[in-house]
Amino acid sequence: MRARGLTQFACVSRRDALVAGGAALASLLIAPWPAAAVTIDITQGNVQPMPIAIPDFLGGAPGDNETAQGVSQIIAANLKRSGLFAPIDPAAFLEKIANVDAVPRFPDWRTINAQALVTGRVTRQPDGRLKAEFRLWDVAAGQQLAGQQYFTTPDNWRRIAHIISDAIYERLTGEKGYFDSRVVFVDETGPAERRIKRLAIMDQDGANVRYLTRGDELVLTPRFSPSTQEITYMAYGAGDPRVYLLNIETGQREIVGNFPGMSFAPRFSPDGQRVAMSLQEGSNSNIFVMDLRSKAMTRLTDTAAIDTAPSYSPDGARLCFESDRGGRPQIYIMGASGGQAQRISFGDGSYSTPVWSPRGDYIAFTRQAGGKFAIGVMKPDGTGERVLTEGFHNEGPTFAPNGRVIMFFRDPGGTAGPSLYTIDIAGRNELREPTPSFASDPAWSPLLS
Amino acid sequence: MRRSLVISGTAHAVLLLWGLVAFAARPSEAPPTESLPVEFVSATEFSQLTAGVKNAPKPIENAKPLADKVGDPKPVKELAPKVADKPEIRTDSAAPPEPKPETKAQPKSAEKPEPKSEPKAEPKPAEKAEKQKAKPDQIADESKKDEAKKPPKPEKKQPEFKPDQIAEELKKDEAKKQRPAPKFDANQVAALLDHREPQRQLATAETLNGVAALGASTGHAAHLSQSELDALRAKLISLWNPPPAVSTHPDQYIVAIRIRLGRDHRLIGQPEVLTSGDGPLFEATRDSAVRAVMQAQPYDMLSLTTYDLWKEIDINFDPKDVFGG
Repeated sequence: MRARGLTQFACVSRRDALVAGGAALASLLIAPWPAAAVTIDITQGNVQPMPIAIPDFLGGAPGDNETAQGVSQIIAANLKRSGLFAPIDPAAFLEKIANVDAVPRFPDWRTINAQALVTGRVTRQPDGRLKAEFRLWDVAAGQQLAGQQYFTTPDNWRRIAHIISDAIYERLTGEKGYFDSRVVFVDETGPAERRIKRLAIMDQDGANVRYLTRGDELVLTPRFSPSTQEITYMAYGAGDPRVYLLNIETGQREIVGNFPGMSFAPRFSPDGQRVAMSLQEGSNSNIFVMDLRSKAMTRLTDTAAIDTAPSYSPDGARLCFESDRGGRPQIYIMGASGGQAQRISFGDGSYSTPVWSPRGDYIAFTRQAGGKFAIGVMKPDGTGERVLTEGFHNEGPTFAPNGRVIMFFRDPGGTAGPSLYTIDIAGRNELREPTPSFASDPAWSPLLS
Repeated sequence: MRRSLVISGTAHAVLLLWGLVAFAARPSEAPPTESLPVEFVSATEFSQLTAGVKNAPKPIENAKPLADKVGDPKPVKELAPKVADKPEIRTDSAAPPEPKPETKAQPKSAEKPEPKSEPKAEPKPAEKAEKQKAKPDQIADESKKDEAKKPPKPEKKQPEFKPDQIAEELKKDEAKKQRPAPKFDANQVAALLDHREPQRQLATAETLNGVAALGASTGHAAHLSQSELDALRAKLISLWNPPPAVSTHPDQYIVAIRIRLGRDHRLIGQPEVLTSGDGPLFEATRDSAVRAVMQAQPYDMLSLTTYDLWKEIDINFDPKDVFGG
């Protein structure tokens, strides 16, 4: 399941950038451009999902058609779910793409208001591998923006579709994508009083669900390692709850450290070398970090309060965590080696489960106030706090690899169970994440490739 | 039965009475709206509203074209009659080594006479004109300065050229300049003719200046009407869909684009991106701006009468207000 050797065959965008950059530089060197007669400033825009046309990819041979269509459908679904694109109904298409290597008839695509067009082809190679290639066209300018081809094993075709989706997303939005990623979560089945909780992993779009534990013990708070090969989580085994480490590929699992009392709320450091977690100390808890190689344990906080839910900044230099040292649970920040902590949350109610965005620009949290649970974000200095969603019970935010989307779980109460939802960090585009049954405690992986 | 009827009747009566009292005490009144006077103003009327003002501030760009083209300080009204004496003006302007007058002089370069007499003759009326108009007319002021610089040139160069040589020189130039002509299509030829025209209009002191508000000869500022600009701006705003990620640092992703437009209101060539930057987000922002400019075709909100003003437009796409500040 590792990233296969992916080769690039054309990257027009880079050349374009060079030419444009060179031209701009030249114009700067020659003279400060003489102003044209009329200069106007446009400081407003019309932000809306970009209309994009994604006709079915072509099969290299008749047998490949099904896979080829599947690839284009996954790309369309991914881009649509992002909220930034509006795939156009194929019924409206005027031109039928018959050759991926030919330049499309742009006027036909302009007529249906497409701004971007994706064409592609999937071919089975003599050695059994699949070759998938795509071209991204700017319809208005009549130019190719990107074009790449990938080789993979046939059973990996969905991943190729995700990788192509990421390439399109990045070229058109200017940001890294998040489609080639997975989510680990707690799958919940059975009646409310005897819920069976199993660790499960799936693709970001809900496909390829796989169960990692059998359901004979209660599991909570799974977290991905940066390598995406391991997860850490808490489980109620025979005795006290413990933090475990599980290798997704081999199924091998081990206890992280062996301490008296409860250990919980684990999270990997960005380099994957350490795990920060909480250890019970009487009726309080403090934050510790364990070096996974040397197994050395370091204490980071020492207070007569409940300090928990540590989460590293992407550079690994700082930690945000939750503490009730001020009375109610609030969010604090401290250096990665401990020391003085600084409180950053000051709103009503209590704040818990802070998570630092992989981009570093926001910290997501769960806030409980007025009998409601809200998911929100604030900047690491505590400013710019905003609530993204609020209701009976929302909890457990986790960031997509590009830091633009947050997944969380929502429990409607009553006899129904929790489900996973995604929402973007502006609070728009809330969508339910498809899961086979009830689900909670999602954790988004980094990009796989 | 009867009792319930009484109760019901009483209750209704009470309710009605209460309604009478309650609503009469506080009648719902519509607040009086003041009527707004509305007047329809056409695009041309609007541009006439922006006609020149004599005491308007003097823009720098304004000064240059005027001085360059006329080459003498006369106010417009006095220049107009001289249009009839074309040969005089041409030979005059042909002598100094300025490129523009030469090209414009081509058609009549064959007429050899009077190369020397004129330059001398001209400065005098010019001086007169200056004296007359010195105070109110800033154009004249401007021209004065230029005048001071220019006269020496013709005097130096005149002795070097005999009339015949000038004619030959001009013929050569003509030959050179006529060669590329066949390349042009009808539109470009038309554009060329327009370029020549200003030589005659020079007398009437028309300039390509968008801010010519110095009491210019025509009496109208050559200006795109506000309604045209608003329509252009509105169209570009409706089409510009910048990537959401720029909202974090909008000041780093300002894209300036220059477009050249033909008389058919469509782009000539590709839009020229004037700002530079790198990174995928700059690329995506730049592309969104180019896309807006391409999709805005045809630019038929701009009227042909002001073509000279909008044949080239600089557009600054600045995302600062796109995401609500």
